[in-house]
Amino acid sequence: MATTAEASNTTTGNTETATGKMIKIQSNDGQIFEVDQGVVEQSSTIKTLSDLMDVGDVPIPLPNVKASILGPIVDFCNHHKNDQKPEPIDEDDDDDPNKDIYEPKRSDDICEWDLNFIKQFTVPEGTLFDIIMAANYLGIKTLLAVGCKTIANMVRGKSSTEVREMFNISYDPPGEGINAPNAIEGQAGTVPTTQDANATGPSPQPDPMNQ
Amino acid sequence: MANSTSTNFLTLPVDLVYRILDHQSDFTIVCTMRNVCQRFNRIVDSYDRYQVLTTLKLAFHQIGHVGAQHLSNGLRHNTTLTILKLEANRIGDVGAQNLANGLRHNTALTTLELATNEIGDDGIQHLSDALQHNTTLTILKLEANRIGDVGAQHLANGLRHNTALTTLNLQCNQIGYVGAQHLADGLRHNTTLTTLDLGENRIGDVGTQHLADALHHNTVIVILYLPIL
Repeated sequence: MATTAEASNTTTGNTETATGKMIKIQSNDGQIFEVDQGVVEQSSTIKTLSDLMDVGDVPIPLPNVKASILGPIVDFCNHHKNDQKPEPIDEDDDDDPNKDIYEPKRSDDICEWDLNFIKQFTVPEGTLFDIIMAANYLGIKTLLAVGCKTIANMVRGKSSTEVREMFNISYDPPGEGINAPNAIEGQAGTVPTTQDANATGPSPQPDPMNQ
Repeated sequence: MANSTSTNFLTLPVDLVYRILDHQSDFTIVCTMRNVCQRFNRIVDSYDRYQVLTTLKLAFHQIGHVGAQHLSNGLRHNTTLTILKLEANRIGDVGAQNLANGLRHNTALTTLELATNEIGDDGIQHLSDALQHNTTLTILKLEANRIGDVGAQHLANGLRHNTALTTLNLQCNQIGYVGAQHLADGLRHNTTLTTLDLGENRIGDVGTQHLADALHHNTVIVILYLPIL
């Protein structure tokens, strides 16, 4: 109780106390990770939850992220926690009136550590998209940018056919399957609900028509 | 592990696909991301950058015939691009054929700039065929390619059946008096072309005379550039 009060009184300049405070987060499959403030600061979601909830020793549940993804994300944040305070992250400039929306953002500026980090996630296993979804859910802008840039780099210079092959996408007839009109709206801006490890619901499988 | 996967590119939420598009060049958006599947098409169509993308400038991009193939696919389904600048991209005859396939089905492009692309008579034949089907292109620039008399004949056939083109720039090619005669014949039947640039070719006095004769029958040509003799 006393420690929590002290932490919430912390405003500025008391970073040593802040980094010293550990917070527990829990994946949807029950694994608990202990992270310090340097990690918490990078995730707007965890930050908000830990500020809102007087969590104490109770782990913050993260129902959209499984341990196999959350573990590497904690590694990522631990690696980056001493980075220079986010220079205007280019992913975060949506409100910048001076931003030229007609110019593509860079994608050739992923640092070597991040390049190696992202290599462990693949398209066939779906983990590359899991990490992007998780970064989005957790509000980790830097990781989200690395994921999106990685996909962008994979697509660049390819033909539409090659992209379909690379990502196992079938060109569904209009209005059918995943292309059904409600398939877009239903997903827009939402994060899939809890993915139970034993869930056997229909997951997008290779379309037989797509060889 | 892998079988618990539920996310792939196709099921990625729209705002995340937008984020990926944010990192793509205009070329990749038009030629690669468009026409992957219906869902991506709708996402690309609703993407702010794509919606205002009317000019694609790709001069000196080493596109080659492979890139031209991608462009062809993009052009076929694109209804927003009006100006396509492709100067100096080593597109060649094969690339010109690819582009022609896209152009044939396109109903938006008004300007196509293909200067300095090593396009010879074979490539021109395909472009000319496309001109017979295209009804929107008004400016075609083909300076400094390898168009000879045969290419000029193909273009003349294209002009004969085209009712949209107003400017054709053939400066700095290898068109002789025979090619000029074909073009002159084409002009007799064309009612839309107002500017024809034949500067720096080899049409000579004879070719010039053919063109001059054609102008008796053509009342729309207002500017005709001829080689400086």
